[in-house]
Amino acid sequence: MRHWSWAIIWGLVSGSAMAQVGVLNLYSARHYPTDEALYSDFSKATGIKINRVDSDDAGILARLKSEGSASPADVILLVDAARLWKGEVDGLFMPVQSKILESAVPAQLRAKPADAGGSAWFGLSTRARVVVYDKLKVARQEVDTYEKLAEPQNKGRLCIRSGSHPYNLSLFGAMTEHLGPAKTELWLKGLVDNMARSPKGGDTDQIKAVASGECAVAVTNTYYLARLMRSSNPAEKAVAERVGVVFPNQSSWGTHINVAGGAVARYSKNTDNALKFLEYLVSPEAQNHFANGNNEWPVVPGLKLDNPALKAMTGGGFKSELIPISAVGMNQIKVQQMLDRVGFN
Amino acid sequence: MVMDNRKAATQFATGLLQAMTVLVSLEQRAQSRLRFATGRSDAQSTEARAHTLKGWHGLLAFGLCFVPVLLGFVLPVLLLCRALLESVQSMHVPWVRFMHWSLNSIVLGGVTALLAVGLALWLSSQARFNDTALTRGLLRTVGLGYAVPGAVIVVGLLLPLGWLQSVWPQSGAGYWLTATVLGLVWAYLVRFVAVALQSVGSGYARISFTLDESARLLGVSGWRLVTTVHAPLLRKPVAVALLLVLVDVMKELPATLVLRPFNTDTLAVMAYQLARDERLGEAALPSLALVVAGLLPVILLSRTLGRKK
Repeated sequence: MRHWSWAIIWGLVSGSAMAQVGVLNLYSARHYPTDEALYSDFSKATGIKINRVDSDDAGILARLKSEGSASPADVILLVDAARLWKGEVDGLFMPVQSKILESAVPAQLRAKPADAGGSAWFGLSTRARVVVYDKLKVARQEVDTYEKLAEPQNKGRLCIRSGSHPYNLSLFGAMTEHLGPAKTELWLKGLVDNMARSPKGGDTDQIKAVASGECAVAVTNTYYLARLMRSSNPAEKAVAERVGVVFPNQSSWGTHINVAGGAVARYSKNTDNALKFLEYLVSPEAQNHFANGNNEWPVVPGLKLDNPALKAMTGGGFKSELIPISAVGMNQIKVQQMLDRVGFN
Repeated sequence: MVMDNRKAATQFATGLLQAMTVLVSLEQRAQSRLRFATGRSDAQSTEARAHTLKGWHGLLAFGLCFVPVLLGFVLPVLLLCRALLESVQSMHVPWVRFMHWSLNSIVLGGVTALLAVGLALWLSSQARFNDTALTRGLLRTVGLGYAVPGAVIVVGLLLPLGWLQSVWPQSGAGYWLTATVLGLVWAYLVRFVAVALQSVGSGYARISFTLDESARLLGVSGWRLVTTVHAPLLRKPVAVALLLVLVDVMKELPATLVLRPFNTDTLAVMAYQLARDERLGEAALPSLALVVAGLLPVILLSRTLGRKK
């Protein structure tokens, strides 16, 4: 083969993923432009260059499985609790010990300690799954628990995205943990009976549907509502102003939260850099970025929130549920089967 | 793959592939029977003469044909333009990153187009020199590639790769195929060599065999025959093939989403991810860029067809 052929082949592989000093290879399900600042700040502070590929959680896990020990990934960032648990169970993450991470991240928001010590993943931010409602047509106390969404007074009022979306699968998995499978299936049937329309669109579409009058109640993540509230587009701000928001189950087990987290990849070749990056993500600067730049709730307790939208939603904190993430993950298949049985698309 | 059920993914992918193979085979058989019926040009044919509609007949025909174009293309593009305008006014357009995505799309498309057309030329020339059942079967098999969904190609690559990696970890196959562009370009070639083959094959069909015989009499054969006699006559089909493959690769999503290496976001990937994150205003720019790219072959081919008349 001619020399130029080898040069081309080498050119194809250069600049990616062998173990290198000053490099971190990131597989991320977080594809937010606001995170660019996070990555560039880390690179500036440490001199470590970040190579990144974004995909969805499932795509990242499938890719890691196929790559096996040849995977170039160092850090994995996922945005769904159940997928974090799945990655842990499938042995795709390397348990790491870090005093910084363990003191910053509450125990219920990180993986349980592995037998050999360390945790497989750490939560970095959360989003609450809340109820928005038409302030003119619905009384707050009619929708202040998840269970009430399935009750007769809300018939024909409910908008919700597809039941099979990871955000809903996690919520329903948590409900299964709280109520048990039989009651959860009845509750899901109640939701289907109360729908104003078939599930369609994303979370933002549900909020807009309430604002436009297509329905009176919707389920959404705080991330999307906060984005509308802080939008520079007057039409989007108007949508947010038309709806009320309630954090369900404050008097019982608390509001469901989904966790976005990170892990060191099992076959990472740059583990020191990987750990540095995860520790950076729980620093006050990074946590402030998640809260103020990306409308997520920080995991580090006691952090001063500087996000007007998040503050306006809660008026100063809310009670979140405390079930283990593994429960949410383990219930996913059961939940999907329930959704199929009750006809929740 | 999304529900992490590899067995089900393989079963669905295999079933889809089988169904698609049957349909494409039926279509190819039907096409081969039509060849003699449409062998003459429109000017010579006594059966296929165009009939010009006038008055309200013409308006009605135009209207009926225009409605799907209006609802399926014009209105969505206008909505995207409005979303882009709103983003421009609120200064939320990521111009620098857009240039990066565009460059990645064009480079990947360009490399794949060159490889695909090269392969198509080689396959077509081999089929011309050795017209056997084997070569014809090979061409048909390669031609099936376009009908294979990108997701099926990803399943077809990742599952055996995972197996190979587990039985032979030292091979590093996983690294070579996903951390570099090799796996992605391979997936593109599986799908899009068929596109190049269609155009190059049509070009070859118009080159008379007597030209080959005359060239051989003058001592020109083999690869020299291809480069000195066929190549000049295949310039237009090759150019069309390059353009079609380039645009198809730019628009490709499923394989690109899963197999692309680091720092290789493309227009299609970003349009999808921004839309998935419900940032439709920001998704407008890469989406419109893909619309423009997709229109290029349409305009080119319309002009070519117009000139033939």
